[in-house]
Amino acid sequence: MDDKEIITLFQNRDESAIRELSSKYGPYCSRIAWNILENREDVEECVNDTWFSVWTYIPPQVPKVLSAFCGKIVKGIAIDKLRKRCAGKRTDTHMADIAAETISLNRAADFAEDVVKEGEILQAINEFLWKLDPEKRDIFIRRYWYLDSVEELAARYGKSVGSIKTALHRMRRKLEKDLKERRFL
Amino acid sequence: MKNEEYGFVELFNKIDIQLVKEAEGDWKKRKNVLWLRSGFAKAACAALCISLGALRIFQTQVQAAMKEFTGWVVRILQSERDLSPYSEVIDKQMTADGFTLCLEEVILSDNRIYAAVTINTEYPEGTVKGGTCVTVNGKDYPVGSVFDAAEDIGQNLGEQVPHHVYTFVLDEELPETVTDLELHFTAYQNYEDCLEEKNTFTFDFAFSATKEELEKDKIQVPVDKRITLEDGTAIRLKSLTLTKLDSRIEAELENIPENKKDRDAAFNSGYLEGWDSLGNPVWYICDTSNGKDIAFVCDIQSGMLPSVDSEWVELQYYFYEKVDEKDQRPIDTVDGEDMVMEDDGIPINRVDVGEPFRIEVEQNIK
Repeated sequence: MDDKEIITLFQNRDESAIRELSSKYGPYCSRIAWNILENREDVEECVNDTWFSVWTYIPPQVPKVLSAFCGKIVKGIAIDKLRKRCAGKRTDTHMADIAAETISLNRAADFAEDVVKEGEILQAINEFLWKLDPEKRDIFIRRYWYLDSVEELAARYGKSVGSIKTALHRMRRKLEKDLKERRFL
Repeated sequence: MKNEEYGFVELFNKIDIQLVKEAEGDWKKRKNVLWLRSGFAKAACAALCISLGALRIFQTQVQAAMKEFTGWVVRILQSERDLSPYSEVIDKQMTADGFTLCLEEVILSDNRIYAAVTINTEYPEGTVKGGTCVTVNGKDYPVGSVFDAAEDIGQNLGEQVPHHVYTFVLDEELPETVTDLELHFTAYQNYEDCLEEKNTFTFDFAFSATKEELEKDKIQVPVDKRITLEDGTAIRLKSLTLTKLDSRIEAELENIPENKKDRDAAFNSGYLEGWDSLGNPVWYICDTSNGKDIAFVCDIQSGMLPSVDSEWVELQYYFYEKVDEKDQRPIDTVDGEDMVMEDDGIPINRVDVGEPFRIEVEQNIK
């Protein structure tokens, strides 16, 4: 079933909407949640919460890209869950690596505490991404949006882990410089 | 949102959804083509192939250096340099089968043509490539390479109206006087058609232009510098030319070793990097090598072009050599981690040669 038909089911409050959504994007959302939580039970719980959230958002929202819409929701739920699970404890997970990599960019999140400023900083980040060449952009988004491991990224592009790390490091530095120049850091 | 360990990741979760969608599937290494980020979602099934003759629109002579030009080239390349004296404003539009191309502006250099083009299309995956030749004064000049700066930079200007700068790099220099110029573009409905070169639509823009203004402001200086490589080969730098758009260092090879094949490979990976006196980073790549004569080039699109207002350029020669993984050296160490380089998966090391040297730019013999 295509995305438009699934969205129509939600708009018509047809309960088969969740079944169809789950069938199409269950594995996609599970993968994203797994990258964060690495625990089957937690992942299942997150994914189920995601379908419930989508049910409350549509209508009135009509997502342009249903996959990314679900991905965003499941990521938010999974990160919250991880935060609660690891409160006060040092984590030894894949997400801990990502958190360590982006530590210098976290202050940008502080700047985004109100809606207007969040819009400005997101525009800056989007512009930064659009300026990258396609492969570098893909690497950055797969790492920090899809939360792929460095090993998965190396396999995706046929490169070594070292070169992926180098590329990510350089792009983070460039983004940091960009945000500093715009006074977002 | 708090400044804590997942703050950036949560913020990044809200980036442009098109970016997320683009990265969703398997990685497809894209050729040098333009990807259009049009807002139109209508599916079109046009199969009409437009012939060259049907679309040709001829311009009468267009005068250069209009006071209120749009400056597309500058805006898209995000350059601070004033290129207005060198631009020809064309502002001519063509529409055919779901594509509308508008040639906004053109700048001519010795062997490059920069063309600012606005493209609208009904096809979500519509693709436009620059042609394999340009026609100058009735003669076809082969294009060695053509690329779209806006694709590299990913810059969108305006509301869902993509603006692009195509750079046509010619195999030979343009003549001093250009009376008629034709630029050719080919459009495809989607990426697969582009790969298979089918269902093409061609667009030809014809007009007149000159490169006179750019020639007036060109800096040319002699250089007498030898860079000696480990095997005894010497690269003798002979001259430097510099405009606000590009720069070229002509050189020749001396004492070439008998194993010529290895020499070509080494030169193809060699480059000059450094700074100008104003603090701008500078980077020249090896553009041509016919076994004896070589040229190092850089242009405005790289963002690492010396300024015409600088007094000198300081450069050092580097090249990359392929090595076994066990011999690979890190180029940097960050947070305790070594950073290394690869070329298509093969470990490489960067090798510097000799000491940095300066070329005085102010002495202008033109």
